[in-house]
Amino acid sequence: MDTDTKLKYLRTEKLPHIWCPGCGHGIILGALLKSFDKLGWEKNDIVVVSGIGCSGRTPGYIDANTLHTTHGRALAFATGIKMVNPALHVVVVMGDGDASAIGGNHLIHAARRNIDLTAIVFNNNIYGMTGGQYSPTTPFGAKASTAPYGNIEPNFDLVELAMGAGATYVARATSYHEAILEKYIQNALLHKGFSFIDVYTTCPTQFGRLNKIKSPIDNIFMLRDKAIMKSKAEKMSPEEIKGKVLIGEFRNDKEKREYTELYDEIIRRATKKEM
Amino acid sequence: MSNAKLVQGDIACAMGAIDAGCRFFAGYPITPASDIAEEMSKLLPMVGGKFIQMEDEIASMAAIIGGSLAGAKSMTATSGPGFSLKQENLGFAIMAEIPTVVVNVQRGGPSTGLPTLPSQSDMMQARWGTHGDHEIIAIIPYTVEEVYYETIRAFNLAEMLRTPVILLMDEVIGHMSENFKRPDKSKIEIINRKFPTKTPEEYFPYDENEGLVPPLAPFGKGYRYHVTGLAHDKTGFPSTHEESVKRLMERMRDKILNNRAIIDKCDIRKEGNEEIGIFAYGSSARTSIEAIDNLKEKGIDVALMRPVTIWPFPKEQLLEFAKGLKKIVVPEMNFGQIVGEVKKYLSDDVEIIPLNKYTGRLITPEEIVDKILEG
Amino acid sequence: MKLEIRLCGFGGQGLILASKLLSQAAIIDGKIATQYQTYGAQVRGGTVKGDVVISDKRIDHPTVIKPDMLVIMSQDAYKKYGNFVKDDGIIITDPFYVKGIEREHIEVPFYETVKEELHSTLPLNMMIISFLAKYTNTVSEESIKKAVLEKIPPHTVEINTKALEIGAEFGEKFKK
Repeated sequence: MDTDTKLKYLRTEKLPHIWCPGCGHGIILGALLKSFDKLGWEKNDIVVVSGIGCSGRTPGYIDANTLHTTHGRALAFATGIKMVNPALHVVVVMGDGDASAIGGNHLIHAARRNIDLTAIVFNNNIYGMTGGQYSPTTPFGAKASTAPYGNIEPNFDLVELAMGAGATYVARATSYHEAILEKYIQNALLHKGFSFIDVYTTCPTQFGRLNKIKSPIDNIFMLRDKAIMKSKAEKMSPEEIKGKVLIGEFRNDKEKREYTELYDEIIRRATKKEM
Repeated sequence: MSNAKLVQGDIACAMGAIDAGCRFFAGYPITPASDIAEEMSKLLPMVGGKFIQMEDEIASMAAIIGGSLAGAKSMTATSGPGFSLKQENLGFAIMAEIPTVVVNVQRGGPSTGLPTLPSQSDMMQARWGTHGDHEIIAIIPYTVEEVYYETIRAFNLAEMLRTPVILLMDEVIGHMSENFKRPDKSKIEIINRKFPTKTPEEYFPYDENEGLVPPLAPFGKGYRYHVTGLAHDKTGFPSTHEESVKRLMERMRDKILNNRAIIDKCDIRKEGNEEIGIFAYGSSARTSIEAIDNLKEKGIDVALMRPVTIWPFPKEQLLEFAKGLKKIVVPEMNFGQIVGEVKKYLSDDVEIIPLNKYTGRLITPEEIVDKILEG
Repeated sequence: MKLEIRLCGFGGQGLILASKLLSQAAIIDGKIATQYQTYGAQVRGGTVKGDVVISDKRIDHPTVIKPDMLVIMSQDAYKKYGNFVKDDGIIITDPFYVKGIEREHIEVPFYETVKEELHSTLPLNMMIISFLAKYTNTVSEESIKKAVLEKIPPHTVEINTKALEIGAEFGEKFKK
């Protein structure tokens, strides 16, 4: 049943995928495909947009309208699509470099506008495809191919970033907690406005290798061990939370007006010649 | 009494875009192109179109590619610094073959340069600004009226050939106002992109069997396909297969070069008795025409070649124009970007005389007259 | 006929709008006109100029090189543009704003006049274009009025119309 569901939205002829054994990207893709099915969305109405890197290859495997753009710019391309045809369901998948380094500006502004896009960050704390360079989400002290002595940059908390910028649905899950991830993706897809999910995931080939987390399964256990549900963390002391990653739904605001709807009002006023 | 009105160049560009059917504009404020964005923000919602001011120039270019893929004729407008920022995504539009119109109202550079003063120093950036081998269409109008009609033509070419088209203005052409009468809509030729005739199952977005310009289905109309900036095969999916890359590159090149008949546009004013010619474009061409009139009063006949389409370069037209001429003066508001092209195609029989000004001021008719009289 | 007019002063005097209205009026009269402006980075208060070319036939070189008529409305503008005028060109200044001009010029008290007669300096630019239209005999009074009325908000019609009338009177007066 589960396999059939995933296959329904997959371009099976494009398999096998390019991702390494132990990579979490496939799990996120699977959760997305199952969510489409649960919601009963028509393939023709779905647009999936990506940037560059391992996550950038995701749309290629999805049987929908798919667009693989330039590095960091997926949200800006998606904004154009959504503006012109608000009836389309537009999902944007990005890596941590895409979303928070080269495309950080687009992330905060898409969030601020509250345009109805669903942004999913495949956050493996590293630039995987280019060889393991440190990203804005690489933890302090972690090793990367461009941080051989350890990373001295504080890392971004993407949930805080998205909330600060005004996103109206914000959640974090991991590729280990698949059921939770799927639920959040569905909530995000149904949300009218800018929805954002930070998905903490693995890159055994780069992050694991450089940080002595050897086997793929150890990388997956890292997610299990580091993640704490937000509700649970609220009852814990700061010392206990230190070094952990909080997962959960952080915001679900249904009040703020959505951008394309507001623009439709502009059109109504302009056609009636009201300034 | 006349029906004409005083209209600014940038405003004529916006009017042309609306009349061409542009329904999506994404931009970022920059002098001297902001007037285009301002006018589009007012006009677009009146016709059911959409305007968005993006967070930066890069995003503006990205958004119009998205808008065009979703089915709307789309445009952005900028000036030098913004044009630099747009280059990567301009290349994406070339590679993915997404019709878009990119306006660059040229100002003095490099860098922030001379924001309120004209130049023609992005001529080569228009040609080679984005990385990788490619052909490009660039148009450079010389009057407010021509801005209007050439904006429409830019959309027509973009939609017909599934490619970005660059409209080059300069600060004077953008900011000046002059007589213009917006024509009756029935008098304008509008060309829309080809919609697939095949079923979704048979459709390929880059199908070579559909000729040099395969039809483009808008997202959401039942034709599910993949678009990427990677080299791709007819399906749109990435391919590094040598034969497939070769065919893609050559088709993208040939769809421009084999369609010169519809792309090229040249204004040639030559009686046949002239020994001197001027090769000029944009506002420098206006100055040249005044200089030619002044020289005629002195008994010197001078011919003019004014390319309206500057890229691809009008090589054949230049060879024809140069026949019988002993020298050709090339006035440009730059160090001599186009004179290099003129020299490239002409033999040593014709003396090529550059006349360059790079101070943010228009070349004056007197300077052209002097150049011709002195040598 | 080809007449090149330059209005220069500081931002906020309405000179660029004035140059546009003058050109539009010429077009209403059936003439060919171009208009172009130069300004600095300052949004308000910097030196500005509005250039107008009016002709019976096609205008090629789009901007003014050396004006036939140079209207100077600030000391800074005088410093910047005061020397660029045709040999037989006419310089017009407002003595309220510009002092110490050595070369031949005509002083027209635009500022003091609108202030006294209309108790407002806002329609200063309207008085200037109406003055120029009459003084140069290139643009009709009706077309000036038409161009202005198309552009201004209704509650300013009265005061602007008055400014146009005063400008025309002065234009006539200063002609000889």
